[in-house]
Amino acid sequence: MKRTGLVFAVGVVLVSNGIALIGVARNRAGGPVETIELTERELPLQNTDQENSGVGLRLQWFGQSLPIADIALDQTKLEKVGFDFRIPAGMSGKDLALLPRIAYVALEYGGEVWEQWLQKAENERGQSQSTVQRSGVTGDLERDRMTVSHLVPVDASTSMPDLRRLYPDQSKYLIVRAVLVARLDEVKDPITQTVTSYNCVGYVSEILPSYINVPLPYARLLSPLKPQTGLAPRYTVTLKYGRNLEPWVADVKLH
Amino acid sequence: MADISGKKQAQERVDRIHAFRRELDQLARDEALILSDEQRVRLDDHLDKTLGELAGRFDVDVSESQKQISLAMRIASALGGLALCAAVFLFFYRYWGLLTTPLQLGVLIAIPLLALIATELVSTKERTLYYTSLLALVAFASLVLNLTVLGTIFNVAPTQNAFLAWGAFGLALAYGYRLRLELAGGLISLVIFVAASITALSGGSWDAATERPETFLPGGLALLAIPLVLRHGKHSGFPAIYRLCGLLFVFLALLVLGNEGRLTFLPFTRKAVQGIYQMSGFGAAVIAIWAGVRHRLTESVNLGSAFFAIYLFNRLFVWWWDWMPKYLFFLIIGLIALVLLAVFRRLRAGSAKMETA
Repeated sequence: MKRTGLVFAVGVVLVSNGIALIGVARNRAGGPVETIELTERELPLQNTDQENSGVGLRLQWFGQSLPIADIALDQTKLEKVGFDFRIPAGMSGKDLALLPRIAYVALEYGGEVWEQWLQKAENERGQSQSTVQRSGVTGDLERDRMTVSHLVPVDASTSMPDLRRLYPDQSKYLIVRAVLVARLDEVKDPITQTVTSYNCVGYVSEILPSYINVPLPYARLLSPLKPQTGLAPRYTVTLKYGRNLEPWVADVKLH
Repeated sequence: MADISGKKQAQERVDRIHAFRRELDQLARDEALILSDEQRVRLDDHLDKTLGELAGRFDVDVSESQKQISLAMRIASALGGLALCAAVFLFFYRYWGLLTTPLQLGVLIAIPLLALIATELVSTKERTLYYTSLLALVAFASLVLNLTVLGTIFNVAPTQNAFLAWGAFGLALAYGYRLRLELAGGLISLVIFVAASITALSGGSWDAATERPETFLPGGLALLAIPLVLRHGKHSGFPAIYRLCGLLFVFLALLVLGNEGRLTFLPFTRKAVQGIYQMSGFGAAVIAIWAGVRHRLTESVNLGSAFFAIYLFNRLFVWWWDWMPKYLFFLIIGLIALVLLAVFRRLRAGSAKMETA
């Protein structure tokens, strides 16, 4: 029994690693399906300390985890990926706890939606607690262009080819797998405070994977840098995505 | 001694012999049973020989002080194992950035394999399994590190399948070397795998399994059923671990659902769902106590009683805390505890009667 246990345990180690590595090879086989250049705005350095010598980046998008209806995904798009907002009889919208879903998401790089938000931020400059401010935009156009992530989620689907057909420009649209979260927000009558209707709200809560490992030799370029916020980007990273939409770092350039 | 197949049974026999000797001394002092010198010598010889054989074959504790030292050794083994796991994790993270990807990969695969070889070598040298358990724990943690970091190195999106590998590995270690801690680790991993797979099949993200606690019920119930259909002759301590893990998953899932009726697959209102699962929770706790008393399953009785009390106090808190004066709330809790004590006392008396019969 002891020998059987050992053989089985060794088998689990080898098979699980084998399956994982076959997945990696399949992802990279046939070259990348997407290539994009991003700066420190979109790929800030992950906090590291003396206990961790690895160098990693975190993919950041605009309005991260903010349930803002007009920059996020509308009801039609959310229903397309499987969210069911129908409220069963006898229940209220508050009782509806929708499961987060994994879907393909198109991220637009510095497009129209992003520009509109910068403009909105400039108009609302000085208003405390505005949604714009919560999104990390300051209203200082020049500074925001330099420091805020240009990637904005614009569409979602359960089919990668469908999404690519809709957004064929690879230099402007990055398609990734992401976790989407949705819920119903109550709309109340301002006078009576009774619930009159519900808003369907959904947003990207996580991009899969959002942590991107930087291997040697590129790690040597980035390891002397410390994480920073609100300053001009110090590097550009070329990311390549394979068939499983798993990325790898293909190049790093310091500015 | 042909009927003794495991260390647990051997230890029980040793404990019975000690109890028998103490009772014999008491009977002699009470003058209820006095053995002749010749009978006493023969009996002592026989019992000493039996103890010697049991100690030699199963490495059981033949004295009270040995028992206490064994407990200390088990604690030291578990703590040492955990500390070594932390050392492996931290050592790897401190230096992995200096290694090229192929080297990182080689180290990651080599660590669990080396820990396995060490486990095997040590297990052939000791019967007590303290060092074996410690090294097996390191092997288990090394595979967790291996698959987690492998995913990080190649930017692979995490999936629930890693839990299947960890579960299978834990079971291989547990059954291969008779280790209960690794069995618990393996079973917990497998239940998480099942729950995450059900969540993914229902269209959700696999890591949202905790948002549908019902997904933990099939795995938990399966763990409870396994000791009923699978005999564990050589692993006499394993059925208790299956029941402990199974009951924990079932009770915790019912506790969450009894409070958060939104987190369900059932097409009913929040209140209806909460009602269903509150009743199920009480029912499950009562069944666990009843089955535990009937079949002498200590872990089932203890866990069933603990969760019965948790469910009860949880309900009382939800119903009364806000509107009742706090002194009255605690008074009622105290009175209910007294009633529960009386019920358990009756149960205990009933159990004693059953034993006598």
